[in-house]
Amino acid sequence: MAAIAATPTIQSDRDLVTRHQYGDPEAFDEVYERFGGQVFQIARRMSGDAALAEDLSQEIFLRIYKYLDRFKGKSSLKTWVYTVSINCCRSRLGRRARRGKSFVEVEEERFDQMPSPTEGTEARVVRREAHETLARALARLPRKFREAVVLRDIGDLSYEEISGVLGVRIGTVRSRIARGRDRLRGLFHSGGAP
Amino acid sequence: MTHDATVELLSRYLDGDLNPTERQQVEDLMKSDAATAEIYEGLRQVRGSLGQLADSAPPAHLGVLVRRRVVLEAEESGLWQRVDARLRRFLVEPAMLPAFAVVLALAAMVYVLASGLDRFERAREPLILRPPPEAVRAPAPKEIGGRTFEFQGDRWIELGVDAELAASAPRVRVRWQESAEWQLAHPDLPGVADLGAVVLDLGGEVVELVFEKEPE
Repeated sequence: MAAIAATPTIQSDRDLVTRHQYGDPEAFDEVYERFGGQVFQIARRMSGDAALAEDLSQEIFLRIYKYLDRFKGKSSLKTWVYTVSINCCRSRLGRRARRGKSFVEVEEERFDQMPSPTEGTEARVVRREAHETLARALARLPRKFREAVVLRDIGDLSYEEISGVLGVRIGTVRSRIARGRDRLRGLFHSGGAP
Repeated sequence: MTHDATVELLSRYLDGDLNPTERQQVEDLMKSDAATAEIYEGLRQVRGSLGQLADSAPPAHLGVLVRRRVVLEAEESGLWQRVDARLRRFLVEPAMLPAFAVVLALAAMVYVLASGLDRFERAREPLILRPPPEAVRAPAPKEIGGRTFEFQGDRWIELGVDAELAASAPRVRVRWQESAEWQLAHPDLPGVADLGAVVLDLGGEVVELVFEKEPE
């Protein structure tokens, strides 16, 4: 069943890449439409900074545009896009860290989600604070845990897909996600302090 | 069972990654041990809140910036990539090697002849003396629509814009056909398109606009 379900996606991935190779500009637009939001979220949660995430998203999509014709279809396009995103974040944030800038300069979270009609102001403030605390705690996680947790809980990737993106065994993925969430649980309840 | 092993089991339980026997084992453990149930509740909250973080949408202008950057990249590297790809295809074909050698020899000959002629042409050019760089004055600042623009290096920068933001401002190329349209849309900045490259604050976003000159 899984193979049958996966076939249309792989087929449409290949179609998309072939159209890009033949110079169809709408093919890249489709890639952006499919992955733009998720790539931005990954960049934002890996960097902890919305402005930096915009720059990173541009870099990531520039790489995707340049190298899309080298995509061979060994994995799904989704896994490939996430691999490019993680590699780009590692390289940019690594350079930033070497220049002495920390990952944990988390900006104020923009709380732009629609409030529920039944939610009072106080409840909204509490939810906002929890939101900000979690974002700060996430930015403080060691990189290997943060990558695994972000890919699972924000990118919504399966364990197998994460294993492909990070190039580690599934057992390692399970362990990193569990340890990352456990640390977040601790940091979250202590207000994001290290 | 160690803490790490328990947490891993609970985390996999949350993700639906356990087989029926393991699932039952976790449920029994949570019923019998309050501490485990508490850890599970904490992990569940963290996972739920992370899901909410993923819901915030990217800024609307990001798609426009990405597409513009890709268009610029395509314009800059498109020609070279096509040449490079053809050259690669040509080089991997062994039968093409003699032909390639002939082309290379011809290219070398043309280069030698052309550079020789160029040297000859240059020798006939009159000597032109230019003032030292320090003598070349930067243009005076310009006042446009109540904002002041200062010439720095090779571009105009709006006074008051943070230097770091100006250095990392995304570059947006405005083609000469679009310059008039841009100018119409920004009546508060008359003549900005004539400046060429300009860094300014557009509604809270610092960008570098490069207005192309009309081809002659």
